[in-house]
Amino acid sequence: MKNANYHALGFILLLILSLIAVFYRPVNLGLDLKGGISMVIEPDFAYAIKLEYERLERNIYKKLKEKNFKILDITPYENRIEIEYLEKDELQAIEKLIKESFEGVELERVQEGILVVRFSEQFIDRFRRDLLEQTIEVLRNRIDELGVAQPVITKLGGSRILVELPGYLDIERAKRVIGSTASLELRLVVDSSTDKRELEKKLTKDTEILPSKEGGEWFLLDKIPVVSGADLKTAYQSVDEYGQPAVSFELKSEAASKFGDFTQKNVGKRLAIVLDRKVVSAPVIRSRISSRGQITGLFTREEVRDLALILRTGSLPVSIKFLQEKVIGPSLGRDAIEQGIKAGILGFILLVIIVVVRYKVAGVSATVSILMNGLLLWAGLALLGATLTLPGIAGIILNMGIAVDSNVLIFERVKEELRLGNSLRKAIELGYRKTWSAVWDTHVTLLVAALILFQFGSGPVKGFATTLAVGTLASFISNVYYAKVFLDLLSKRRMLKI
Amino acid sequence: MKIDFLRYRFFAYGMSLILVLGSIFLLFTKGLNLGLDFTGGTVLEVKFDKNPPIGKLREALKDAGLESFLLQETQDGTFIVKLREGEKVSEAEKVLGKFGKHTLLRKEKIGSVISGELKEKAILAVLTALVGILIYIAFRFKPLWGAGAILALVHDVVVVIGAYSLTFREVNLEVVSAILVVAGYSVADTVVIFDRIRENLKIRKNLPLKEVMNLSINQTLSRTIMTSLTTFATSFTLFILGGYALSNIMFAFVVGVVVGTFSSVFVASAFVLDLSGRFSGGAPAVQESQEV
Repeated sequence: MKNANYHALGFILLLILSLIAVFYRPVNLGLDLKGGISMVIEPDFAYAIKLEYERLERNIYKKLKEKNFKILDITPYENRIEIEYLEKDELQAIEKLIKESFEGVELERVQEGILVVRFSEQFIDRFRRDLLEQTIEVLRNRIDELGVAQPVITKLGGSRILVELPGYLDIERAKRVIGSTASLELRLVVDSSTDKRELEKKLTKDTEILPSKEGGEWFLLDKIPVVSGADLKTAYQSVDEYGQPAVSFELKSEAASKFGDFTQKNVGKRLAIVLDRKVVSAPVIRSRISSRGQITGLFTREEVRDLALILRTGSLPVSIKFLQEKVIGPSLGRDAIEQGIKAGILGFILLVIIVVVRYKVAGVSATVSILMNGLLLWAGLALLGATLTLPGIAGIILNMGIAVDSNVLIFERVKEELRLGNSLRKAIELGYRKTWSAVWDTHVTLLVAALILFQFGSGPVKGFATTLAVGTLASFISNVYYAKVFLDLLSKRRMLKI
Repeated sequence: MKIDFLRYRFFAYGMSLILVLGSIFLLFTKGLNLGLDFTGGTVLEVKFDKNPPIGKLREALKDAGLESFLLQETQDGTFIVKLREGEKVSEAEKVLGKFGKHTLLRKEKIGSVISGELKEKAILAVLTALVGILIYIAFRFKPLWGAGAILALVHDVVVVIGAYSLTFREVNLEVVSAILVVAGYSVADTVVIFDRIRENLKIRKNLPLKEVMNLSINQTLSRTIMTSLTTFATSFTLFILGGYALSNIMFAFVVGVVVGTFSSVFVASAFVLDLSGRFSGGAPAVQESQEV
């Protein structure tokens, strides 16, 4: 009996804690209930790694030239660099030099005359992690500027990013602002022409050909930019001399002095403004320019506004792909909540009718235990910081049925024991003891099913699994602690009839 | 009240066989209406101020050059257009615009990378669940009894999937999870009856297995009915009132509860009874039930 008192005390404490939790921690609504945009984004890792190999190739080339090694050729590929050397005797010295100068590289002699350089697996792992972090950082800045309240920007596994914008519905703009790489570069123009082949003849190792934004014209440009996105201090909307929308930018002081020197030396030449590998415009340098510049040749006011926003928040380290996009209008979730509540109330009333008709006073006890279960479940969700989704609502309502199941199991057994001629107290005792393994089994199987559902990992299903798991635990607690104590109490006062 | 359930087991076998074979037949002929989660593509859900006839809308979509699409009118009076990856979404939007004023309720686009992975994950989850349940059953029961419980579970799952095929309701990730829960529910239901048989076999050692089973099923019958009734009541209200998405999930439970009750009474026990003569069946328990 003492045991039962402890149980009752523990349960009352739990209830008070639950009530506090419910009042002080609201349960978050999922995007499917609130409305908004959800996207799954993946940075283009393969391209980023290719660029990294190209950079490494330039550095290795420089290093080897400095030491006067005899190199026939050095070529970057998507996943390796191949060095063709002339003198076999130099191989060891070359390997030593590369190993000492560059971190995270592995060397392999594949055949006579060719040395292959690869990034180590750890390096690639770290590189991908960093790239993902940088991308998230930039996305966070951009989304902040969009003015979305409580956005979600998180890693999804090792290579993806989940972005959720509650209440924001303009997916076209969201994609434009989030998805632009916005790599801004100022590069010296070597030559330009409407005929690409003509330029190809003049192509060297240090130059490359890029198209103009409108198409139809080609530019031969220095590979290394004078100024890049990272040099920008700020960017804002403005108008050019003809009153057309433009974006003005300011450079950081270090970049400004470099840029000043460069423009002074190159007066009369053309400077290309390259945005996402397309030439937006290519004005002639008239005099020394230091800290300020203006990008013209853009189109609408809205594009200008977004470009300024994107430049201000920094460029993405690499372009991104949208693997999944969802826009959910606010009415869908509102209706679902309303329908869920309606169905929940009606379901509850049906349950109460069923158990009270069959079990009388004990049925009332079962009703209370359903309510307790609901309270515990809600408190559990609040404390876990769980998000309530549409399937989560289904889980909660389904849980009422599960919670009542154990009561049914026990009551039926108590009834049976009474029929066998046991006293009420004894029947309750036996009913509990003999159904224990079945109660245990039903809860364990449901809990296992819920835990497996977590594997899915995606939002809605996770919400379902969470409510199911927490609900099963809540049902177990309210059965073990509450139901028996209550029945004992009723039987002591001779109020119980089953 | 005592019903000789096991006398009717051959009738039950026949019914189960028809249900299972029918479901498998439907799966191969009609197939499933797989959700965007698994197929990839784009889905648009709109609500018109004044609903156009669905046939006309379908014609118009076809005329606009859309080939692989699915048009559905939901119970909430909204229209869902599902487009395969590569179909022109803007064309579909244009067509919808021609049919009067409407609001866009949702627009979802899932690339084939994600949908392929989700399919894999779903299959993995189903397999994990089955293996988990198998381990659990093996731990609690002798092989033959375990086989009976698994048979009942597979029976329930197949019939539920068949019901989705028959009504051509959408099977998405949420529905797969609902079906997994139905599987858990089905096993729990069977376990309760087996538990009772195990208990009775210990007490009434001289009674034939068939009698013990009948007795146990009868003893647990009111519990089986009550539990099914309460679960059915909650899932059915949500199925009727919950709106398109919720009712689609709840359909699994509405069908699952009915079939699950049937199968745990008839299929699982009857299977054990008919095979226990051939193999040494005996008591289902390998271990004593836990006592408090």
